[in-house]
Amino acid sequence: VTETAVRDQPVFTPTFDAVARSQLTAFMRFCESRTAATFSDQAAFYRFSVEDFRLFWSLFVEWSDLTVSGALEPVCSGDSCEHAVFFPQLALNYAENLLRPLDGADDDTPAVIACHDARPDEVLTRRALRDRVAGTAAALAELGVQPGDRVVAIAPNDANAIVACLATAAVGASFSTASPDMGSFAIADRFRQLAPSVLFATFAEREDATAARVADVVRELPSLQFIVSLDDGLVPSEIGLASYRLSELAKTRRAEFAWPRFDFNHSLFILFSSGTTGPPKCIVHGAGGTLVEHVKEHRLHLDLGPGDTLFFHSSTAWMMWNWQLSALASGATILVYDGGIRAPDALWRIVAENGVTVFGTSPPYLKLCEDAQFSPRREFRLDRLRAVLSTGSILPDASYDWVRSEVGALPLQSISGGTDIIGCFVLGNPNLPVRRGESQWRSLALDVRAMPSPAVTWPIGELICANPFPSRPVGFFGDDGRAFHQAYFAANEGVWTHGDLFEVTSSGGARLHGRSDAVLNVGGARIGPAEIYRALAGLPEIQDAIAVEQRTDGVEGGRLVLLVVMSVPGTLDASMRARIRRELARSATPAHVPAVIAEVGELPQTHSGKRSERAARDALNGIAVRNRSALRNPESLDGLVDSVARVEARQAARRVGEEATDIATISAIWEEALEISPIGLEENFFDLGGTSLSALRVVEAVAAHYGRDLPQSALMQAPTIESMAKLIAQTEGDDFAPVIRLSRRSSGPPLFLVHGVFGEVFEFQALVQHLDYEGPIYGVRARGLDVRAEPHSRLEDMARYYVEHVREIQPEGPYSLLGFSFGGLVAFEMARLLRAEGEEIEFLGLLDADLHERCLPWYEWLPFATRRQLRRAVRVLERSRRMIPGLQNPRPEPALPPPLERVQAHAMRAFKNYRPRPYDGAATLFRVDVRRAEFCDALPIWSRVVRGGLTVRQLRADHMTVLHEPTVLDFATVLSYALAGRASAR
Amino acid sequence: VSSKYGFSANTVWLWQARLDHPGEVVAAASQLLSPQERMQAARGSADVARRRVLARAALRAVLGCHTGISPTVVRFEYGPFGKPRLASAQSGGGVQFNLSSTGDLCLIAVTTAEVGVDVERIAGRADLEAVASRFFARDELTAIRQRRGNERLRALFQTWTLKEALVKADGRGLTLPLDWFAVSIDEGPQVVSLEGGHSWTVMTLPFGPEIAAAVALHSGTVPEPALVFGELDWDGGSFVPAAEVTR
Repeated sequence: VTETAVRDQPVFTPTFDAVARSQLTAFMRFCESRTAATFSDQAAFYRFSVEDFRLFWSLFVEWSDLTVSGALEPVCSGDSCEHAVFFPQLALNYAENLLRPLDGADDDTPAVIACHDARPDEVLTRRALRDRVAGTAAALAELGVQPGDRVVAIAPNDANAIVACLATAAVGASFSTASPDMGSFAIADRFRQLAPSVLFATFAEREDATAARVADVVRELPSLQFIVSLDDGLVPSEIGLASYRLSELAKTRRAEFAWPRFDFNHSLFILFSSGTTGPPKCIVHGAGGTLVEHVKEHRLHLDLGPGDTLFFHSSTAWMMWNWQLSALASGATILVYDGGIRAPDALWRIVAENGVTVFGTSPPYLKLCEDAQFSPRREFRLDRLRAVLSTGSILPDASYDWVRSEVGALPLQSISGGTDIIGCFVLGNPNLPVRRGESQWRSLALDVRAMPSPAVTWPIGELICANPFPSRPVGFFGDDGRAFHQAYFAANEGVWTHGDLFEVTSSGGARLHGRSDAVLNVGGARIGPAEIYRALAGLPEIQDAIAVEQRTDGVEGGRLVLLVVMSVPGTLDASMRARIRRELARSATPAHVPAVIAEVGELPQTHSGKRSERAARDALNGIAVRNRSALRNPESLDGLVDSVARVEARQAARRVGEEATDIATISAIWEEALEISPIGLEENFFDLGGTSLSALRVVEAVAAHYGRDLPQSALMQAPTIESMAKLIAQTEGDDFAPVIRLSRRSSGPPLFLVHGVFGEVFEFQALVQHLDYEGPIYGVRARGLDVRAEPHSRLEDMARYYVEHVREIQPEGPYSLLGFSFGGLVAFEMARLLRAEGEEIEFLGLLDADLHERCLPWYEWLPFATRRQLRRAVRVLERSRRMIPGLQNPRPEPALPPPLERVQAHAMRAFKNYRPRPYDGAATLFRVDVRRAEFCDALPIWSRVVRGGLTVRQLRADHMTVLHEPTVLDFATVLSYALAGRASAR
Repeated sequence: VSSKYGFSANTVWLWQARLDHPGEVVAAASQLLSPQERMQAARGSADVARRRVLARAALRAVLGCHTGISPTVVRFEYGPFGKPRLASAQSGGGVQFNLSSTGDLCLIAVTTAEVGVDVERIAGRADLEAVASRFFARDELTAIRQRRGNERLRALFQTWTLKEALVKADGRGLTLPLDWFAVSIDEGPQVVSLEGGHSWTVMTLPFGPEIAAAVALHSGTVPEPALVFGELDWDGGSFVPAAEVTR
């Protein structure tokens, strides 16, 4: 009883006063006054909005005082959701509506606050923004841009992107965006379809070498007439096109610009679907529909108005960027942030420092903060914040409680819609309480319902919208309507089927249950399998492939499983798997890299020869395949589950025959070594009279028979024939991961941290936590931690092995490496290898990386050796004093866990024998100021071998504490600066 | 501490006992063991169980002699890699020991430094060379391969016992890679330093043509070791030192 009761208790309830003052209440009163109806509650008002949607929209356009011309009637011609046209007699200019002076938001009100990682923030007033937009629009018109033209942009999320977008909209052309961190392949795939005439792009020097990628994209876009540099970066001369700077265009003759109005449904934004088949679909959104839907959502559902500052963390490639931009039409200030989440506090700091009132983020970020036990309310003053929005995927119940306790008494609104409708189907309602796990309300005037589906249990169903709505896309670019029909209206004739699963709850809110179609949700990221297929098309060894999402119970967003049919059956080996992973990471994104790659004989296909992701996915997830008869080869599904299971648990799934062979072989070896026969499978080697020497005989014989190394102490770990067979089976699989992910951040290039003398990377834990770094951080671990593998005892071998594995994660440079102590030597050697392979090293950090005294030339070694001799003499003296009373001998030091001990011993050997050779790149040496007495100062050697410039940073720390709190904070700061390439600023 | 079985700083007692006593002796000897030791012994095959019981009984007897504690009361502790030692409460004088056996011969070393001992019956086995090539250090292999016939077999076993004694003294046993250090069968007592670890004095022990044996001692404080050899006989329900002790 109580559990349900607690769960149903609202986690937030708006005050009476807030309800009374909300714009939603005002609009309800307005509607009442015009219709003579009375809306007793929100449900009644929602019913009205859906049943009489024409009246609703007409009243809304009137009430919201949008700048339009022409006739309000007809509101909507046609009754079918697919074909209805809203406001055919109206004309408007989207940009004009966003930039016009408003009550409470005059021309001196800030329109845009642009926050940057690397630059000072920029604030544009409404006047300044309008002037720049008008100037740029006038210039675009003069340069020949026509209404209906397509303009595309590769733009960071800053003020310039907004100017470019609004100027384009102002001249009646459509605008499409990609963010600079997307691959050139993916960008070109999208833009090529639009035959765009203008490209706005960033050419400033960015860490991700955007300029080169922009050039790649330009080559793919022959329709381009000219290019505009967004940020004054130099347009490379190899791009043989006319180019302009946005800053110049913005200054031209703005007064002459007249804000022409265009048809209500002229195309404004063209967004891209993730695409399950073929290239991404180009979804054309009309200007009027987008505007009225956004203004409705902002004002009625979010209560946004003058005085508000909206910060929705997004990139320019996501529809939330377009969505937040429209908030200018409601008089709100928008805040854009061009940067990543380097630490849990990153976005909250922006919220606090800029007085953000409405903050939009994603469930993973909320989870990240929760996991890090970060409390925004304790760290910052968040007085002005009044709502938190979350979108992208399902929001867990716990996040509601976390926001309540760690952010404050404000509503957490789970909103959901998407690219397809450039808006929301479910979102907030300022007049209603918030319940855990629920979206508060359905979007007004949209008849959103859960349609019973055989795939799920009612009341969960397919999300459909049954009535016409203005932000329904105009269509797909270049489509005759068939693909558009297929995408949204084929599943349920006449109504919009969204592809999400959801339910309407008893309180009238909504609960989302994930995607229903073949789009993959991998760890929260939406991935179109088509992009994977196209990347794999370049590998002739692969005949066919299918990518599906495999879910783990209770986890939203599964993992990616790739099933492949090889051109030559049986050829999917470790190196082929590595090539596939590399190819996908290179030409798509790291999110496209599958967790499991399994070879199958054939893929499930429909009768028309189309591969069926849905059937494969259902089979993999243990769900009854709905329509086996629709498949040409339903038997392929059985083999498929087997294949994945085999790959997944290689050691467990070894076939019985092979295992029996192993056992027979091992038994024979044991019998020989122990001179006993027969031996039971579970008998202990040492109980049978085995000695160290006979144990080595067994290890030797097994190693010789299988041609692979077993550890010397294999029999201690596996003292029975059975366990030894397992050990041998495991040694085969390469399941040990030498490179593991240490941080969840992911919006930038990776940083690799190389293990110290013990081989493990947990000593970096505190550093990772405090390091201000937006890219993913990986730890490189010693192979010897795997009990089945022999540790490396040459540093060069270690480096080669690690480079191979690092390349699987990051196939191409520039690379960033940091090594602590012994790991500094390894990182150095890795950098040398990568350079030798033609790669660029962006950052090489050596943290207190001492070298063996053997590396010193004699004139430097001598004073060191003398000092050490002195210290030893002192120690012996001290010890003999302590020893006098008894004959106590020192025992060997307390033991480490055996694998670490093993690795340490090998590493010491490698350390002793390693001589750094010259390296033509640059490096940063972080020196601690308390030196370890037993090690020589390596500075003279590093400065000799690092030929590309050695930067030295002194740290107030010693070797043992530099990675521990609180000292690590200093190091993390110094390192963050060094990584950002602005160490000189300190 | 019994003065008769006392130590000067460099004394290493080396006791041998036979493990081929008849069933009634084994039964009597098992009464000296702790329940855990009896369990441990019983897990082995019949021969292994007999040797384990007798070896433990001999060990308890020897430690009783050196510490003055009754053999049944002697308590053991185990190091991180399973090396047994006297419970700290009982090793007041810093008594340390190590035990090795081969077939029915058992050898127990007792001294005041960390110690390891190994004894092997020399028996020709074709695979021993392969084991050596995989695990021994290069210098050791060179020294072994210079020899022929029985000499070579003996060299193999001597090298092995020296190495095994050292890794036992160190406590890590076979988790310590054997090719990290080299011993020399051409030298007498020698000091071997482990990288990043301790130094050990290792030496072969004279036990006739059929047996190879070696002892390793922590070389931090012990000067040239003085070896004292003793034998244990079964007499009157316990192992007792034989009358004659060779110094």
